[in-house]
Amino acid sequence: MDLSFETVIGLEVHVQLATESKLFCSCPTAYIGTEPNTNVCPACLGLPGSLPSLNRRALELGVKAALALDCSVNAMTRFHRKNYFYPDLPKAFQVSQYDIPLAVSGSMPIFLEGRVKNINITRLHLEEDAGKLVHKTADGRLSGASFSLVDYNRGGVPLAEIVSEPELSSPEEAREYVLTIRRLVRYLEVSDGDMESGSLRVDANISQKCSDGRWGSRVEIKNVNSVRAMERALEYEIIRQREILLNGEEIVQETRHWDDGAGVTRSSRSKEEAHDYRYFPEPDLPPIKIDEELVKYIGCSLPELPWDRRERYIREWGLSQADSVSLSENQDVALYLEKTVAFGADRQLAANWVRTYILRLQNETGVAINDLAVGPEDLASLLVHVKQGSLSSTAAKDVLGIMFALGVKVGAAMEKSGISAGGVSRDALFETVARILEANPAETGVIIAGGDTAVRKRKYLMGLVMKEIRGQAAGEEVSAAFDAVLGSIRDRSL
Amino acid sequence: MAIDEKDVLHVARLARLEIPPERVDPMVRYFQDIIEHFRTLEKCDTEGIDPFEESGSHSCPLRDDEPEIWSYVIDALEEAPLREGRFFKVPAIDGEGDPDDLS
Repeated sequence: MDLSFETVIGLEVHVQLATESKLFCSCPTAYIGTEPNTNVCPACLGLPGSLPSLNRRALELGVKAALALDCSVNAMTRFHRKNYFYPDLPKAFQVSQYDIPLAVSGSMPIFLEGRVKNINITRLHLEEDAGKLVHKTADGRLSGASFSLVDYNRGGVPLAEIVSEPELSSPEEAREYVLTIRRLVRYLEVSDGDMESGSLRVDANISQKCSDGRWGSRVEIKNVNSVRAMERALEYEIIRQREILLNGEEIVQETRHWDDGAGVTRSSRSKEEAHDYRYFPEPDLPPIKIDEELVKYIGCSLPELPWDRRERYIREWGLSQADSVSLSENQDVALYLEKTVAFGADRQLAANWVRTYILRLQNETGVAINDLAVGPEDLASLLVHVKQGSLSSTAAKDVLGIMFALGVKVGAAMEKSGISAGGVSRDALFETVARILEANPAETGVIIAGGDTAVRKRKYLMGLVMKEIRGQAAGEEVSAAFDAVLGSIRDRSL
Repeated sequence: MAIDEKDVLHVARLARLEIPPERVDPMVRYFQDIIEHFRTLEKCDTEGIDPFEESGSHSCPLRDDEPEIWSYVIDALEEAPLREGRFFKVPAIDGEGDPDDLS
């Protein structure tokens, strides 16, 4: 019997919240490029007698993300201690949430190959990050090291853990889900969402449903440090699990670590079960009543969400999928575009130009879009010329370059570039034609002699002229200039 | 719940403690005593009371997000039994252990 399989994936995404200070103490949150154990205090070092004090901003950012994910924010929430012994946790427990998380029951749309799929969100809870261990072996492996070095700068940094329902059915969907969360948290400025530096971390749960009714056990994959690594780990795990089921064997429910170098997942020896964590309510933090007014206020102040904006660009503006994704994922970019349109630019043209040139200039210069020398009003006035046909796209691109380089308005930039709206001057056109003809005597000779290939040669030289004048004259004008200049050459040679 | 040797060794493993064989039996008895004590507590009538009603009507106080540097970090490092530079130094851990592996 031929068996078929369905893949079932659920993701836990940890997002580092963009606060200045840690979740339960006032230590700064900076840990990258910071001297080890600089931003630590009795609370995050777990020294006796220290007490946690909850960061209001972390709570607010959690609520903001939760509302954007369409979650219900619990009126009362509380923290639990999750106990385990490992040197990255100086207190020997992590303060996390358990039975009453900050928010539950949300959903988020993902877009894949032109389809929308809503992924339900189980919960969003807050927790503190652990410290970092440096294992002292030459090859960086854990085994064989006689001791470890610990840096607690990251310990206590606030995280929001977003848990999805097991509703993702392929590595591609998982990828899109993670990218959508990343875009969202960046858009909301809840987190920088940087996976490489560890501000966004993913654990994946994956299982296989077999057409003969068997359901393979769930396997949790850890240690995926990039979206690509997650996809590869999931692809690997799908093949591994299907092979086991095809052999009529059982899949072991376990945690496996992704080895990016070897491209495999490996069984982790850890065998802790949920009850081993001995979760119990954090006695040093009373339950937190979430102010209804605060939730309403944060809800009202949420910007238009990226997927709503994206839908609007497709439906109302008629933009392509690709354009609407890249223009809606960053709020500043979206606002820049919308202002450009408000200043009179054509929507489609503005979308093309922002996506192609403005974003490129932003990336090349590293200057934030709001600080670019060319603002939405300037771009709009340039695009009005393009729309009216008084500037070709090529010429407009040059003008834009000058506007950026010199920080000048459209008029001044056009003057500077010798371009006037309406095209090149007659003299400039004639001069260019003469120069091109002179530089290509063989072709010019053929054209004058009227040989078999004269028409082709003429087209070729006209192309060169067009390139030189950046398309700033109509074909007929160029053709007329050709006739005139060729005529005078013929006269001269007689 | 009856506690036996297996439970004690499991808890010891979670706590990364090595228990000499002759200490296992006394530990089983300690564990049983503790469980017995909780059985006594269980006799209290807690019907209708939130299991963790510790704080009355007060909500958790919140702190503003203002970073502060603690000025005694060096003292804390110096108090550590072992350190290397600015790192705390700890014996290597047997097994991967870090079940949530956030690092």
